[in-house]
Amino acid sequence: MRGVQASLPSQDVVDGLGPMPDLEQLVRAHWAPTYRVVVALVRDHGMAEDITQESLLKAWKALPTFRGDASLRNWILRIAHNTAISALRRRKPESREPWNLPESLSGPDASDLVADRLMMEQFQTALSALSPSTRAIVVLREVEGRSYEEIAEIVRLPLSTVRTRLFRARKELAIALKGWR
Amino acid sequence: MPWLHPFRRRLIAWADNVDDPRIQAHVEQCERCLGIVEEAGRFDDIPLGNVLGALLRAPDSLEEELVERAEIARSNRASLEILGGLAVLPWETLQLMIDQRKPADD
Repeated sequence: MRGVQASLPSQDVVDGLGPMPDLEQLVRAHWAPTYRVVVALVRDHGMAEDITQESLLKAWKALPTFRGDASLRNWILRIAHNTAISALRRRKPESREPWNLPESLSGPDASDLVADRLMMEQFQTALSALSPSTRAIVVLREVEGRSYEEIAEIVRLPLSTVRTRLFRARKELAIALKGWR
Repeated sequence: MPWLHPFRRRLIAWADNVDDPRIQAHVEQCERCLGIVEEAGRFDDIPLGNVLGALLRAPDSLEEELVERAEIARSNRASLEILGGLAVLPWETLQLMIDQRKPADD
């Protein structure tokens, strides 16, 4: 752990949440959902790695100011969402390039692999057509299992906007997946 | 917001991607009509979460990399803060000396 705790600001507990986690604990507990939301926003693995790291570091430094009115996970996801949106603004206009992701498809059968790749390409195209924050909404709901209220809090949009965007996005993505089920 | 609700068929058409900004604006503010739209298009049988999870999966090595990189970034920032502190030290010392001399000057 390399004495991270010693360099923390004076407050050694996060209000009502027990001892403040050190940086390593925080990264290990929250990196995966943070990365998934960020990569959905920026569509680039390398950029998502950097933003995930930056967001977790920001969150850790800001822990003494965390009031506990949202879950720690949601608070971190909000920081990551904001950091990614700022990075996208700097990178504007949004690239129309294909997604830059690590190779993650695998399977013993070559024909299954090709079919998966085709399906994924079709799915990525549909996902790219959504706005960045709509992609984040979809991931927060479908992968991270956040409630509508939590999502609205994380992406700072009205609840009804979250619900309508999610509905339209699900529909678009369902069309892309049609025939692959 | 107009309190006249759109016809069900117009709501369904909007849900089927027929662009209509008025319906969009209405649905965003009307719980009843949003409910109709959501009810009309249930996608529970679509493995959206699974496909998204597979697409957005991070390499297994990323956890260790992030722990290491975050530690390095934290330690770099801490060093910078120390350097920054050292840089302002002579100025603060000078100010202190000036402050101490002030009563004698008066």
